[in-house]
Amino acid sequence: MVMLFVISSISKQKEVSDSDVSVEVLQNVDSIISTSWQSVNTFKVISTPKITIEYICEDNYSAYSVNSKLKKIDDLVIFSPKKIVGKKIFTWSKEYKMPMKIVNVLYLTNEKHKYIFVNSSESNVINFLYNKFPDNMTTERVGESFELEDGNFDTYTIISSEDDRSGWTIPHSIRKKTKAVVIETSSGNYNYGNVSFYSFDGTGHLVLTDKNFYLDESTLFGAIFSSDNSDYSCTIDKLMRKSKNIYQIYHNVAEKEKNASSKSICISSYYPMAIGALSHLNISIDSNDYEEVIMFGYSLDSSNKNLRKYGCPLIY
Amino acid sequence: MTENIAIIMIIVFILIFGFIFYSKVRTVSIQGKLKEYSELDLVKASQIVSALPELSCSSESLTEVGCINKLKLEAFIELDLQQEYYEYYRGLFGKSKVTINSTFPNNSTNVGLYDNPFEGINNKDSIFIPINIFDPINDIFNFGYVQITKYTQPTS
Repeated sequence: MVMLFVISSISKQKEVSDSDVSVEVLQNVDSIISTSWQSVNTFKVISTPKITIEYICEDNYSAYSVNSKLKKIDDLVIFSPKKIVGKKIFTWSKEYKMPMKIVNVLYLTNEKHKYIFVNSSESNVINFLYNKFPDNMTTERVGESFELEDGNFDTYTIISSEDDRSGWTIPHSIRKKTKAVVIETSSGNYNYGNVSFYSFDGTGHLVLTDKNFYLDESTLFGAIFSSDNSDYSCTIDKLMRKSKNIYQIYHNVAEKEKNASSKSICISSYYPMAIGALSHLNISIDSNDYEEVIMFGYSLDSSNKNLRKYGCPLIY
Repeated sequence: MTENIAIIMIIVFILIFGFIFYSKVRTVSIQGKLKEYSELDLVKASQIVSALPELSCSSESLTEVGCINKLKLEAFIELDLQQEYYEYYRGLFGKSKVTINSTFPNNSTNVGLYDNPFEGINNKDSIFIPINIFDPINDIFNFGYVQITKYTQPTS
């Protein structure tokens, strides 16, 4: 009986100890992620013990798990592959502005996720993205026709601006791990456009799975790091919910500034224009009309610049 | 026979004593960890509050560090966090209290941004962050501080 008691105590103790280590690792990763999120435009390589980070985003719920311990993340906007396994985490963050700063966006990946940029002659957006990508990430620039090699990576994301995929040769062994993101910019303007997500179906063909909108550079990189529309669109929804809070606050700020202002041009023109644009921004978000979000973003920016020109308090 | 019983009793006594001792050590260690995590949460909350774009001073999208716009602050309070916005900020701040106070040249600003305690008795840990509070209408700066109080439940 004594032996049984001792053995069961030891076994229970091992479980508790493993759980303690997982919680400790989760806390450390959480601190690292929070710090990286605050440092805009900074790329960081973080060495850790071998861990598995999984990203979950569903409706109003988003979380990541480290070695199966969950951490809810209402505050962070993260674009990441579904699963990152290894001893390193790459973090990179950018600001999402529409037109004022809304939130920092964090990208997570590691060296086992490869990004392949298909560089066709007339495609400047791919050059632009490739040059902006942090140097330490696993990237490759290829021509219109290329043969992908199995380099034992966890995922392969092909980034292209051309719908023609006839020159792409992808070995069978990595087809399940390969996805493609095709970018369609709006009339030469990289700042917004469409992204199409492709993956291999059961018959071994690269097929279009979904199409979505990107609103700026930060969301375009978000589409590349997610490389999957369900995660991308879930994170974009989260970004839009945060935007609505901010627009509501700025709406109230603009009303207060208008009431306190003494300059007639601002009271009669620029504050009302800005208030109108802020109301429409929220309406456009509710109707998922991202083109309108961009248009009213420009309108708000123009009003804010005019307020500055006439020496009135700025909205942002 | 009596000797055997005595030996078994001593072993059982040592095991029970060891178990009680270990439980006490473990409780202290868990309390220490909880305190450490609570402090980490406090630091994290302070980083979040000082970087919230919906409160920070900005000029054409350039955010100033350690500065809160008084009008944004008033607009934030008008949001009424009991309504639809509450869920978002509850995720952000959790079980805590955030207040903003001005101190110099006047102490006119004394506002509670958020308060979400546990029911019943709460343990509290606070952190104070010095800030400027900018009034864009009158173009005046006030010195002040943000107080973030983290609530934890007392451990028995």
